[in-house]
Amino acid sequence: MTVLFGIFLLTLMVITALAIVHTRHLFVAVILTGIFSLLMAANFFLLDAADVALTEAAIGAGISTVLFLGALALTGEHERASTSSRLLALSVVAVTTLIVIYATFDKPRFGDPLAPVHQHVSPWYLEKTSEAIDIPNVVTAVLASFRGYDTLGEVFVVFTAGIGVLFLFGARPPQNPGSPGKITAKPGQGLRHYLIPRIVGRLLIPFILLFGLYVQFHGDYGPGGGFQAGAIIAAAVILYALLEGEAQALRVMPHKLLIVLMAGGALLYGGVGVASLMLGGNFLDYSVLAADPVVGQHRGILLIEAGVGITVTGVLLSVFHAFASRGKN
Amino acid sequence: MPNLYTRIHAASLTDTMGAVLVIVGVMLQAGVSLAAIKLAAILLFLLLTSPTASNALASAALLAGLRPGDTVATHEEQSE
Repeated sequence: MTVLFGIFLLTLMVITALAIVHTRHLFVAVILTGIFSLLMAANFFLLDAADVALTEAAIGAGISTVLFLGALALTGEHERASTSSRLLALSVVAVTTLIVIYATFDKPRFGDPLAPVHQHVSPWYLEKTSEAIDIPNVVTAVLASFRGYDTLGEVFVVFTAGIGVLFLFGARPPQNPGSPGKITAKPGQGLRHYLIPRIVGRLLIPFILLFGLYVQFHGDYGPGGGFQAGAIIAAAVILYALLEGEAQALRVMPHKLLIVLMAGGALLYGGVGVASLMLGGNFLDYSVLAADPVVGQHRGILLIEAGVGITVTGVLLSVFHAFASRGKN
Repeated sequence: MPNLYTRIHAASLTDTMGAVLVIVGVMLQAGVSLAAIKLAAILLFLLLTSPTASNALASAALLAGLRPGDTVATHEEQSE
């Protein structure tokens, strides 16, 4: 049954991908990309990867669609017709497809317990998690503790991407900073004239924020963690910006605060590593953070997940505001 | 269907009522448990957001100048 669902979802994804390639209308392509991400999230869920599914749904289907739409507002809605010959591109794609299909013959069967991925370090992680870290969600244990270096790298990749976008678009707010409190009710200043979405949105935003915090701090026990929570909290603030206008959202969370969040989260993560160095352990070895090594692991994971969430929130909101404020100039 | 509004109307019915019926069905399967409470929360969320999304879509179309009485070509026909 699961395999059937998987094949169904993958077929839908192939159709969506072909539609994205086919359409010349960029707005349609963006919406199809969101649908593609949602299908991918469902597929991850079928593969029992709930953490990844949550991230894909929040970032892929939610925030990147908004960012693409923000980028579209700066450019045209139609793709320029290509003039060059497509023959070379087609042949490269065809050859690559054949090679990839040929490579799949060597792969283990779906769900094969003897597959190398289940034989390498996974049994060790599963065995050691309950003993060394004692949290139910092994994914969080692997991500935050066993492979803390990788996650540190990911956080800095997100941080660097945020800095890159800010450099490209200019980090300074475009309005003159003398009158930050004045908001004009121009069209384009959010959905101020849409009564029902505004009321419902205002009703939902606190609950979305609460859910974000739940995902953040429940990551040890269920699917969730800093990346997902950061995306959900950023989505709540972006919803606020869409409803009330970007200027109002910037008044609640100004640029300065966003930049502090971006750097602060990464700094918190690195700081936990340095703190564990100072206390006599290895870098990012949380066992030394408390008298009991297991409690130390809990504390370390809580802190670095918070760092991840803070950085992701800051970067996503900075990127959103960079796109949105660019449109006004 | 003749225009966008009739299509939104049809889609919003399935969007709201269909999702509600599916979730109520899953709740009946789950019985009285934590899962049922979570499903009820999702149900409430969908009951609020689905009609709102349809409303936002329709009012955006109205603001963009699409009159409900007009018979407009579908997107594919327009682009050709």
